[in-house]
Amino acid sequence: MKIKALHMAALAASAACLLLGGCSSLGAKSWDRDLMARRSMQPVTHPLIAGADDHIYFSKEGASGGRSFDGGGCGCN
Amino acid sequence: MQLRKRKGRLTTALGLMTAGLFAGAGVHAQQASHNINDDTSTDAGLTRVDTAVLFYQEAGGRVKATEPVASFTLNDDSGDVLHVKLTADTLTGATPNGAAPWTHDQTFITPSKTQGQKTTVTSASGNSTLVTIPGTDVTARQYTVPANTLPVDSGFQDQRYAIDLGYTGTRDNGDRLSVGGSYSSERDYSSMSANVGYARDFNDKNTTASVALNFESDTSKPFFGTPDPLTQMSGTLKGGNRQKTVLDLVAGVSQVMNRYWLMQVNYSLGDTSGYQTDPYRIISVVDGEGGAPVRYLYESRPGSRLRQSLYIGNKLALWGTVADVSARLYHDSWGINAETLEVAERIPLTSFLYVEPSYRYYHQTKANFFRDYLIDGQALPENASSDSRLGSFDASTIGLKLGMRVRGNDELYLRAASYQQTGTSHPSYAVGDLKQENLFTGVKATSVILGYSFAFY
Amino acid sequence: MTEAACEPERLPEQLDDGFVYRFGAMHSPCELRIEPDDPRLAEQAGRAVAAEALRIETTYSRYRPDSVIGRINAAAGKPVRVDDETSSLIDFADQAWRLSGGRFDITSGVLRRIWRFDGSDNVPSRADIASLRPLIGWGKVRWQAGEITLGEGQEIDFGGFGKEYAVDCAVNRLRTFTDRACLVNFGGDLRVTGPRRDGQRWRVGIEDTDRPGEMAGRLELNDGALTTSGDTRRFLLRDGIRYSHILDPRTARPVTDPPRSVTVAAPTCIEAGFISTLAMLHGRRAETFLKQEGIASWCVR
Repeated sequence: MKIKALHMAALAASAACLLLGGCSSLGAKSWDRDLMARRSMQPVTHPLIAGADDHIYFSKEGASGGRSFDGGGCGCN
Repeated sequence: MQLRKRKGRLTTALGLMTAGLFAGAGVHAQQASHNINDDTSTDAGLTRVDTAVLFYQEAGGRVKATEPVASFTLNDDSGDVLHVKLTADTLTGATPNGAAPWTHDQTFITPSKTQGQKTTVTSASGNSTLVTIPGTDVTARQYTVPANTLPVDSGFQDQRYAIDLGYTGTRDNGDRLSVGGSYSSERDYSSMSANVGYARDFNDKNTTASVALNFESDTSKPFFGTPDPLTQMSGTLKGGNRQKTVLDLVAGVSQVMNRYWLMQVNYSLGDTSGYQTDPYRIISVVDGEGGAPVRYLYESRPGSRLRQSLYIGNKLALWGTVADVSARLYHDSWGINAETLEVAERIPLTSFLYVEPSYRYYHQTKANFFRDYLIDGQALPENASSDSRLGSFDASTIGLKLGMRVRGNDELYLRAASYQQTGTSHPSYAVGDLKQENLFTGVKATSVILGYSFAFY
Repeated sequence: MTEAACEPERLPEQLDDGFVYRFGAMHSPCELRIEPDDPRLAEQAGRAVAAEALRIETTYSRYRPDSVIGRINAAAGKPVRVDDETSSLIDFADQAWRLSGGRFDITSGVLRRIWRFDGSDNVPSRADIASLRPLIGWGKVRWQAGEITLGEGQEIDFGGFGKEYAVDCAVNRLRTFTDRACLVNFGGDLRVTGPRRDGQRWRVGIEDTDRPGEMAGRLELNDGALTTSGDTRRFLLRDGIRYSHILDPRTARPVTDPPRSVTVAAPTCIEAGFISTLAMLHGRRAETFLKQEGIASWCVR
């Protein structure tokens, strides 16, 4: 399944617009943020595990990036 | 002034109320939550230290790595954060040299680390032999790989040290500005980078938009110099060091969808230019009829790579558990397209223990210059590499994480994972006797990470 | 964050007889006095105390929309689930309301919208007061099973005992890693945890109500907490009548004829604070109230 670069960018732009545009209706009121406040709901709960995984996948696979910058920094591209 | 012995009714009641207030509560800052599963404490004003060690082992005697890492996050009163991460990495084991397996033994020659010894005495080093190239006084290393096995180069050992620094400042209006840099050094490679980022909240902090830019400069300095692309493998010293530079942009939006669902979308664009070839890797040139290896050439990869990815991640707090579901689409100018899907479910067991099984599925298509081998007599392509990480394969990871609250919001954690790549071992286009050989060189690996995270003032 | 933030990393200041670690929090000058052998303990203790003050200030600040108080006040009639610590504090406020006959009421903060004690003569009108009275009254709040639901237009804040609670939390925190006697003082609300090294008592000066900055007397204590309620700096003056800044939630007006200041000693800071405020709210009967309860105290008329 080949994804064209242009399609990818368009997909990204529309996803972002969907979020930003429809954003005012989405969300939780300030008194309903109890679950979001939990440590277990943070996007990255264990940075060192995430870092090790990023490093392993960066050196064994062709793709990189996603949550943040790709691993880099080592001669294992 | 002395306290009188007889206390009034109100004072007695007050004393009881106060005892109740502090009895259950205990010392709140240290025991921010009795339960690791609904802990909402923050690290404001605290210093958090997170230390872990990764043990990684590939099957078949291939790469083995041990990587201790420590990170320090200093949070001050006003939301500013200083972050330092130190990593050390020790790699040993065998790694595929890029040649295809064959029905007979194969011998490879590569420059030796013990250059300058003007002697014809040969000695053993690991699985290889030191030889002198005839007609020269150059010492090279020669090793033989048995028939019907994946050619690997053993005695590969490396140590890497890296430091990452980052600082995030919070302005009065809540905007966050980040700067950071990193430096990594191993014997034959060094890298340094600098990054800046900006993040801002909207919609009563339900939406966060962020953008970041990263610049990286790497130097490849193999001990024997850098071979010219697609030249014949030999034991002599080559040219000098090579560089590459990377520029990355990540733009993202994080949105609280409702009380229990957080979604994040990131778009990344990266441009790498410069030397991206693996200077140690070769590719077999084989006979077009029988498939026998004729010669070995050093591989070559393009000097320019434009990468894009779209990442969508979700955290859902449902039915007492937390689910993490994410997907990533990737495409680059080398022709690699990849899809990734990851799911993890954090399940509380007791108030201080949880378990988190996870699964990751990955699929990639090959780079347009990927070749299992080259055919003798055909025109040489501009670029060619047999590195499995540029080939077509699927990969699955099964993982299990365990977390235990030790004291306050300190945690002991363990994550074990089993990773396996699967690809086409016997492609239909294989020539001659190569049809019988397993041409897929992907990895199967196990990793264990053990870590401890604690915070203090 | 524009309100009082902790000052950047401070080192404790060495005195002849120990260390003092100073910082700012909760709109007040704060300090820790300790006599350790090792100056690093003074620094560690100082930072722990400052962090605890910051934690409570941040968590329960009524100015921050994302604090616990901010969330509760923004709920506009919807129930809000709260964590264990907040739950304990609301229980305390609930019992305090009952025990004080309604004089101690955490919903009375809205009165600050009309009563500004800046030394001027801007006394609010009867109409202003009448408009706010429906918003006051802990009796209108639903508090049940960890969920709090405010009545229409109501707001709560922990300003009446927040600083005192912070002192007690700081002391509890210190006790987990040292048994050295220390003095924790957040803007005049203080607590000591034992006699000083030489066996002597801690000496605390009581400010003169007529001459701010000057000491009228001195107290010495070995253990326990000390708080002072008074109207030294904040008041309104109109037609010769001095209006104290201690407001009675039941009448929505300042209490009549309170002492100029009341200093109370009690085992914990939160108890001392509750009693000193309550004594002021007894107006001209403050001294009688304190005597009946057998409280160690000092009133100034």
